Amino acid sequence: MARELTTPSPELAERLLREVGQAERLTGLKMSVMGGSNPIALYSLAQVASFLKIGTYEQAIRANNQETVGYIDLKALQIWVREVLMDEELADAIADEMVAGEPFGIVAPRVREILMTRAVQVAPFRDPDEGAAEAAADGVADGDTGDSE
Amino acid sequence: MAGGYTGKILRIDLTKKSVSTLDSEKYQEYGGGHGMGSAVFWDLCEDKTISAFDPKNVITIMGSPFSGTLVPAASGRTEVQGIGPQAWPDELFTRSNFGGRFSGQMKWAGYDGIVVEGAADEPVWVDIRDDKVEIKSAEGIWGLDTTESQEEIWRIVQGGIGDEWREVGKGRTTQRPAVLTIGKAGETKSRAAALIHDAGNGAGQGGFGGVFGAKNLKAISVIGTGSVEIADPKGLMDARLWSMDYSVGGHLTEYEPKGMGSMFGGAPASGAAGYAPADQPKSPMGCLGCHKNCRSRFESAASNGSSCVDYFFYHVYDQAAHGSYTQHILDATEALQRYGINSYQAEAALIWLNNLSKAGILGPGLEIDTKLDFTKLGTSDFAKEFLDMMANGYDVGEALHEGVAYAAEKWGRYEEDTKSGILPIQCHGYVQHYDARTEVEWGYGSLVGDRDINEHDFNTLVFWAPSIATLFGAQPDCSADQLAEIMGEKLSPYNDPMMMDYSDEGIYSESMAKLVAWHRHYTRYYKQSLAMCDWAWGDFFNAYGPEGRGMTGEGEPKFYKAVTGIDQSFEEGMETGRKIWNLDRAIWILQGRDRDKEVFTDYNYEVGAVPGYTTYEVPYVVPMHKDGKWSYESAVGRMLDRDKVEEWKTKFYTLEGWDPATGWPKRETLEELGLGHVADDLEAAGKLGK
Repeated sequence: MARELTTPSPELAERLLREVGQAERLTGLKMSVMGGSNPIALYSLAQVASFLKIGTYEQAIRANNQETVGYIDLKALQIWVREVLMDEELADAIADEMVAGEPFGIVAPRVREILMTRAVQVAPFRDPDEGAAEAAADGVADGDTGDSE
Repeated sequence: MAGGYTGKILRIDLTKKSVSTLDSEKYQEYGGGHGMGSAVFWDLCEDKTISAFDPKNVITIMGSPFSGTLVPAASGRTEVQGIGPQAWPDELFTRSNFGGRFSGQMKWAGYDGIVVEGAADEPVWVDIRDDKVEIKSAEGIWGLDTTESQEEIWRIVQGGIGDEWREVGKGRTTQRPAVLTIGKAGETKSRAAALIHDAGNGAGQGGFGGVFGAKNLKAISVIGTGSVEIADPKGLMDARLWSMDYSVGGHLTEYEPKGMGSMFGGAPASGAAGYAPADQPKSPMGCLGCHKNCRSRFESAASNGSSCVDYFFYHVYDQAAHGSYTQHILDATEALQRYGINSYQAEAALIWLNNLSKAGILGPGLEIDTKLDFTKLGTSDFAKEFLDMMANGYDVGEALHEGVAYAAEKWGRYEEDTKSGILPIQCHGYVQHYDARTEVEWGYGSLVGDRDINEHDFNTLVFWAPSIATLFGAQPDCSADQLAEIMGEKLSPYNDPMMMDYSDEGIYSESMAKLVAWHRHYTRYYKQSLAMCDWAWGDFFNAYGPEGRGMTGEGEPKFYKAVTGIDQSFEEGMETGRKIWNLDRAIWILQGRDRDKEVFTDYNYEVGAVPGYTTYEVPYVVPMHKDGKWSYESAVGRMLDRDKVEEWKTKFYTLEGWDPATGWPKRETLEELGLGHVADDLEAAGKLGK
């Protein structure tokens, strides 16, 4: 069950929907056995929410694995949300998940759910013509967290 | 003639429009595949310093004694060689490789390989039906995409698309011909053009699609009704069944997928299926004779047969735009294959262009002017527009048509962007695949060779398994102690456990020089000459094997003996690999390679290896030997030390019997390997090591 977040103000929603500049970007690491490990620049909440991805340990270590892990340093993510997106509540929620010091593979799916929850909350504030972001919200609404791939 | 060989290499001269054969027995000492291809290239390409696009460039397309046989994960690979246009700043003799069934059909038609020389004066394709070979006009085929091209050739050869029995040469078959073709990117001589076979098999790295285009060669089609003579058929069947004990397929009644490390043992499942809409029906598919079936096909048919790497140029953008993988990624990959574009080049280009776009450097009316709308990134329409530019050479594609390294030079951004790493070219114009700063054997192997090695032998054991385990607070199935022990046993003739030491000291050591040398020799022979698939071999740690031991060392000679009848030890095969490696080295030396050109781009020395940031667990974990103990530890943040890399190169050159001052092979080294004639040519060129 994803953590509940209060409804964002229009001002916050606007910030969360826009893309940040290059100097403010967050960098993730795309990890895949056949393709290698390469940094990926991320510019928005929606991009971060969909990029952050890791299956179960059993899936990840499965021999012949060809799937991709979307790694983001969680502490950096929390700081980025707080200082760049200026979403204190979301940053606190991420920090709370990290308090116990659990490994990335355990915490990341929960953090992703929180990010997705926020993405769904801000979706109604989006320009209805932006089909791509709408589809992102649809994915969440359908319960697709990406963990089952 | 030993089993597994047909005794003939088909020789096609497009300039003279002539067809003949070479005696392949002369080249049998090289095993097949790459070794045979290098030796044939050496003999037939008189001036090895010519451009890749010169009609005199010689292209070899080779099978192996294992092609079309029951040897697991070795029956369906085909090796392509020649001078490739992709490397930067110097074009290099290079290689690529593709799966499918081409090599099997080639063997069944009676050929160990095909050599293409010259260039046609108009577009042609080659029609091979057993011993009947014709060079035909490509009118009506030139201009088609890679799928359409193959379908048209099937229609011509089969007299329709049906799968009924047909007379071909002296036999009958229900099979479709295996076609190797180019798309628009190849026709326009792009350095980023791939050769495509069936739906998703591609030889991308090297730019051989552009070489086909320069030769006016649209496609080669081959169908055979013969078979491969096996020296010991029962021995081969026994070996195949024995090998299945090392894979999940031999343990179905106790099905329990084992942990990562064994590439051979992997479950026969299609990982590539993961890059599709979750609700789209899909099934695995594989290459000829393989037990793994690592590719996939989908209900929509888009991107069928592609491997996961073909999705990597775009899957993160689809996911970012749509929240999960959608039909967009399948359609984008389908377009990539139809244009015949190297996926690694497309991936690097998009990472780089996206960064430039966000930096305000690339965009409508900006320093790098483009009509691409990056707000549409993630949609299949954006992908198709971008790929069309690459294939046809307009807009940003005017530069990217030449590959990312050439584009960076054209735009005046090479130095700045490889220094910062936003254009992650590792060396020789090839983009980073695995990080040279952490998984150094990958980087070093690429540095002293011709291309991104793309050989995963150690990758899953030294990087992936420990790094993923760390992200879950777990330990890999194969401990660092066990890994060092197994490698000490298996990496003959060096047998040095310290080869697994990726510590800050270990990466510059004599032991690391041995590891890189072992890897170069093993892959040149077993993987690229005997065509054993990178996605299955070598087999070092295997959870199904006795005490975690995989088949490498025992499996390779077992299969070789069963197929050929030749009782060759594993070490003898490694020595053949060393011979092939030195022959390749000699070709590069003639093309201008020397010690000074073997340097990484600046970011490898000046920017720490970080996954973005380093405050949480970091996925850069490798085996290290410290204070007398083995453990997996993080190498995050590491930069390579220029002086120490130079010292390592001296150790490596010395180990290989090359001149440390120049990196050129010495006469005694070449003569010891039976390459005295190569030493003569190097000496005549003034490039023999002292």
